Amino acid sequence: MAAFILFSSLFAKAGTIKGKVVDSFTGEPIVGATVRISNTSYKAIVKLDGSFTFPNVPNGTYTVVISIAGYRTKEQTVTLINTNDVKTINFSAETEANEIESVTVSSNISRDGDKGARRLEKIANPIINVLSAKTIQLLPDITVANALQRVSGVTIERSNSGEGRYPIIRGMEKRYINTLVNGIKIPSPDNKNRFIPLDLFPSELLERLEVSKSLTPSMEGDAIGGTINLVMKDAPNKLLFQANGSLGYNTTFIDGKYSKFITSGINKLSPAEINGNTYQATYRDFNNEHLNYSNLQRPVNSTIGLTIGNRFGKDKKIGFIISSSYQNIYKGTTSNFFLPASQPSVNNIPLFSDLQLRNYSTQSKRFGVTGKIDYQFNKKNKISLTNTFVRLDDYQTRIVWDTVALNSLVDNWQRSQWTYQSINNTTLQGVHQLTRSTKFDWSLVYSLANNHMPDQAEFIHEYPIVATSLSADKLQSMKRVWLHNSDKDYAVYANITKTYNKNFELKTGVLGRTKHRDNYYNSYSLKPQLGALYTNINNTVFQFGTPADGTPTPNGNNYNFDENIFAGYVQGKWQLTNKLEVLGGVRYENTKQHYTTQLTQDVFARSGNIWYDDLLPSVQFKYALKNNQNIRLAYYKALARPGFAEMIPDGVDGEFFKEIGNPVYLNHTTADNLDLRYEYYSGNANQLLLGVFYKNLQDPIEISSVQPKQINSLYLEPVNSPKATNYGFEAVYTRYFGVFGVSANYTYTQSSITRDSLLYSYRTASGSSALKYVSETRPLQGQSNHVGNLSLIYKNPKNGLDIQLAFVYTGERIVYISPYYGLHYWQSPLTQMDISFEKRIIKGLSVYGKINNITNAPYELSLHQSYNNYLASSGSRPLALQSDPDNRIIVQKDYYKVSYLFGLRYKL
Amino acid sequence: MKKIIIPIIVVIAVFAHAGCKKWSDEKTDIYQYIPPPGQTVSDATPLCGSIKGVMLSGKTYTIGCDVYINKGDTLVIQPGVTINVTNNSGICVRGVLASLGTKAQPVTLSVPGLLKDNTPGLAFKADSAHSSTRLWRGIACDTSCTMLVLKWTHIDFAGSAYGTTFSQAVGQKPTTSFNILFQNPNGYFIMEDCWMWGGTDDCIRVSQGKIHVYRNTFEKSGGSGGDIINVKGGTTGTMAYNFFIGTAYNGQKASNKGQPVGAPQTNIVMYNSTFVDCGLQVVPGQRGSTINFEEGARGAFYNNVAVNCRVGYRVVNNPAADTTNLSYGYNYQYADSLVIANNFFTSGTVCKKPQSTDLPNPATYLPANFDYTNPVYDGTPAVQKLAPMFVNFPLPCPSSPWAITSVGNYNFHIQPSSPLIGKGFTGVHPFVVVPLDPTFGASEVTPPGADLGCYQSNGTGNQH
Repeated sequence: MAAFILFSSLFAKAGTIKGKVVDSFTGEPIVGATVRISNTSYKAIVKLDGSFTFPNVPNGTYTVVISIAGYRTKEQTVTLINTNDVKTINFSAETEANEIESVTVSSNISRDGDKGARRLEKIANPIINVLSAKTIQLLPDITVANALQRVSGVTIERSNSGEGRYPIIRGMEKRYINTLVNGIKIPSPDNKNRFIPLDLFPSELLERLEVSKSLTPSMEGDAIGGTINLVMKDAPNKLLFQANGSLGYNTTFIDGKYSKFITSGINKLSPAEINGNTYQATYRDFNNEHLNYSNLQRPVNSTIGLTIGNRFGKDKKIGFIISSSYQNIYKGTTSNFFLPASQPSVNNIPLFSDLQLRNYSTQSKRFGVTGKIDYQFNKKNKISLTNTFVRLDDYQTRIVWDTVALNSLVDNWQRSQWTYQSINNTTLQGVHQLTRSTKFDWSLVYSLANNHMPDQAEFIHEYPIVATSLSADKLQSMKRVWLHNSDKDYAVYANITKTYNKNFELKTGVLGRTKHRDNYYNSYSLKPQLGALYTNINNTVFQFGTPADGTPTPNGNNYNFDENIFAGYVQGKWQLTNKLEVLGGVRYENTKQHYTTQLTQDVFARSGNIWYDDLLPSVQFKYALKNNQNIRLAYYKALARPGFAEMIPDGVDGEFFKEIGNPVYLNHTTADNLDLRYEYYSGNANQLLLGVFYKNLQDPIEISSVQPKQINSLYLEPVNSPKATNYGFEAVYTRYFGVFGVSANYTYTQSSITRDSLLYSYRTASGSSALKYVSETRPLQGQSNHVGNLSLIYKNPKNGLDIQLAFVYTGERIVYISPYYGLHYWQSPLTQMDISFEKRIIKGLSVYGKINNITNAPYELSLHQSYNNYLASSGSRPLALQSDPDNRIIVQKDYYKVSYLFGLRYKL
Repeated sequence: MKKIIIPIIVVIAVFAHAGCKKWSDEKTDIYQYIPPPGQTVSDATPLCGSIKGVMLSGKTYTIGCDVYINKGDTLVIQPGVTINVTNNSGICVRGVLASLGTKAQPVTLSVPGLLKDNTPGLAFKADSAHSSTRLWRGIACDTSCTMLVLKWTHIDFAGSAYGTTFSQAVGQKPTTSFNILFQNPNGYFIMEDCWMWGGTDDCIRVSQGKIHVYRNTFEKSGGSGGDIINVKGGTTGTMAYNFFIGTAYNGQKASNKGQPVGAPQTNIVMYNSTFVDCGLQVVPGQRGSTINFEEGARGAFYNNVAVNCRVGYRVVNNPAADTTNLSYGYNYQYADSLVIANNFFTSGTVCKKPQSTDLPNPATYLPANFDYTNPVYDGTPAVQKLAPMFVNFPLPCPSSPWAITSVGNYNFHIQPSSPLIGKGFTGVHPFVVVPLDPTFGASEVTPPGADLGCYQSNGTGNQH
């Protein structure tokens, strides 16, 4: 009724109506909302800074209406009287959300947009950074791992195909980070460790990505570096349908070719699994079909995504959402690598035993689906069932030309490897408002992570660098490996939150988790017949050294690992004054571990039990300087448990050294963490965060060479260093100017760890060469002093065009720790540039594109040693790639080339 | 104010408690292995498991499965003992093993039923020395073995892969198949006047230790690859008067690879060894066939004899031997063919300098501006020059090169007219690092000979 237009005048005089639309609760702009003038065709879109404008509106009285999905419709009346009259009206929109939703576990008040993200950062208890679904959608990245590098203070560690895989948060590597899905910790498919390969997750399944850099007592304590929480899409309030698809390719394959093998011949079970452990396999049990390669020219990458959700039933009590994503991506890498000799020469001048050219062709098929059903019994009780499943199939061909310096030979290695990993998580959750002041929530969790690498096949043939009449292309060895592991979790979470009055809230809860891990490893080593020459893999005949070698050898890489965690906490939240809030409490975690291996009974530590308790206090102060400015001070204690393989007294033969666990002496890591952060949120999505942090680690774990039990080969073993520190400074700045935005973050980190067991080779006074231990202080592995992101954003809601140009800078950092003093592998500073865009074509339908690695930035590793010095030493040989011969020896350079992806997105 | 104080007190109390490190320490219950006590050896039943004691002169013992000499235990083998090893078993030494054969009454460890085949040109697959499925695992010492003494002992038909259990007992891979393994930095490995027959990889691997390897004979050692006496970082001592025929790769090799902290640099003095038909599996440019110094090893090699070996004495340049502490000279080489003569100075990453004391004198066949790091020359003048005049071994060899891999009825002692006589350098200092003792030590440190090679015209040197 009120939406009547009252023309008081029809004179051709015109004025302007403008204003802002903000969320009534958060005060943040509702970008993209439509503002209409009733009974006219006037329409405006809310811009990034929350503003809207109707220019040239004839004088009169109008009703201006906002109607936004998820918000209650609002209207205001305004009258333009004079020419050039400017009237300002501001809307404060209220959400439609039910009261119950604001108290659910994964807090529904947030939306999937930037403003929700900012709001979360502002109101959250711990110190967090959030990427919203809208932000993720526009990012150039399609996996969670790559998206993470856009978060302040986060860098990523890449796999050998150049795919981002693991995060490093403010210099703390992956072992210090835990990963949650909807707040629930998930098991890892990794065959050695706890950390989750984050390239398993297609980013479009996410409603948001949260990185918490401090912990509260209610959070699991094994996150010294921080917690990554993948919040999956939640059931919408009304019908939701989204679909997208895209095609693209990687420019590596313009000149080069993709080496493809077929998997149909791969037996998922090893001969011993098929025929029993006493079975004596022969060469006839192996199939070489997957060592045949065909060339694919310009293989096409593709992605498909689909999301459907709705809410129905009486009072819309039942809601559901299913979101799925499929990605099929081909990547290629060419890598030049100089393999260090197992020991340097006198004065630790490095030696290189092999010069390698490695070609990788990797196809990744990534599938993810997440579903959720919830049922609201009434305003006070709600249960939900969520299931998240991700699977990654990697097909990798690795061809290495390895020039062996000592023997002047080229070893050509050809390897086919199919790995498939999956994680499934099923969670049943309930939230019950027991009384007006008491809330009870619970979760029952079943998770299963699997990793399979069936019949990894590799063979070598060898020929001299310079062929002579006496030389030949000789067949060498062949190796077949079957590896699989599974990690199964059952967990129960229960929390009670009681609000005593406006100023005090008490929360207490328990967690129980029982984990069972199985690791299976079976390898077969075959030899050619004496003097056999190589022509073609299909003409080769291999055999076992002795027939008995065809029976697999049980070893320590076959093991079971059980872990039971019990945790409980009490935390209180006090509103001490109207400006100061304190959240503090203590968490207790009890860890019980048991492992058994297939090592023979005369091997020490073939099985064992380990248990320990941790008491983890934390306290956070939040002081509101003003309504839009906070100062936070947080202290928390956290722990990091060693990886599974690190607790097993055996290990695999690594690239250079045998790896071995350390169950007897290895302690879990604990850390005291301090954070101070200043936050400024201006009325729209603008943001300024400034923070400093300090971490003091006790018993940090690093991989070290050890005094070998078996004399000549060094073992790589996880060991505790007495202590390490890590501190730094962090700044995040986001600002929008109308349709333009800039988002930047920068982190400075300084870490230090001192070890007194670095090997140094020297000449004694009597002229003998000898080895000694020396002390060395250096940064933590993976820590860069400078890490930054810069995104330039253009978002025009009017014409529906979004463009983002994103830069990531990762400063120099140590990638591999050497057992030898001064011979660590450093990654050179890396600047990557990516661009992405999205343009609406018609309502609901848009076209988008993502172009990655525009500058083809190389991944480069070097030793901090003078190349000229190396060259002058006895027995050195010149190396290619050198560009800074006075200061560095460049030992690896990889190129991943530019990737393109273009597609269509439809949204109902 | 009160409501602030209470939480602060609680927080401080909790911090004080959590700060106590001991509370969060690991508690463990880890599997311990206590080996069963060693049983005194008997010839009544096949031996198996932990053993110790004395094997009595003249008796025959059978080993039926892997046997272990525990830490602190000793097994002594008296002269004339025969040990039959069955079921691919091995001897693991964690204490002391002393096999004390004599010239008159040697000790024999072998596989019953396997016979030595001296047929020339025998195919690898047909040769039981390498290819029998009944080979045994040999003698493998772990890091606690303080002494391994082998005197006048035949160690035949070893070379079986260690397999799961045995390999774990000595910290090796299941595929490892050394005939003898020694790996105690402070232990003594003494081997005198022994014979070894056959194998599949390195015949003797010394990861680290103090060694004395004198006057032994090696036939058909190695397999499709393998060095015969292969010592690694932290090994010191002497190898002398050994005789090698038909090796896969090098006869004597020294490397400092893997030198541990606190262990000495590999330093081996080698003299007066003879190599015949060695380097069967070597492709020139890739590996050595006689003596090889590489990767930081120091020492010396003098007075050696190489006849029809695939490539010559080799000093590796990458990773380089400790060339400033390596001396050599007075080494002899003989070639039936140009291919062999052209590899007296072998190609690849090498840096062995010509010595005017070598025979034949390198100046007689090398060009004037010879680059020893990249050897290119025509060896024609050296072909069939200066034949060694063995008592019974036809040269040029009528069998195809490298067909004769065992001594058989041949005799490699030297005739009075041999050009090897009187050409030796007696100024070499043996590097003695082991105790001298008729039982638990070396019996004799034979000084460098006046003649080249392992057989001396005055009857000293190798006694076989």
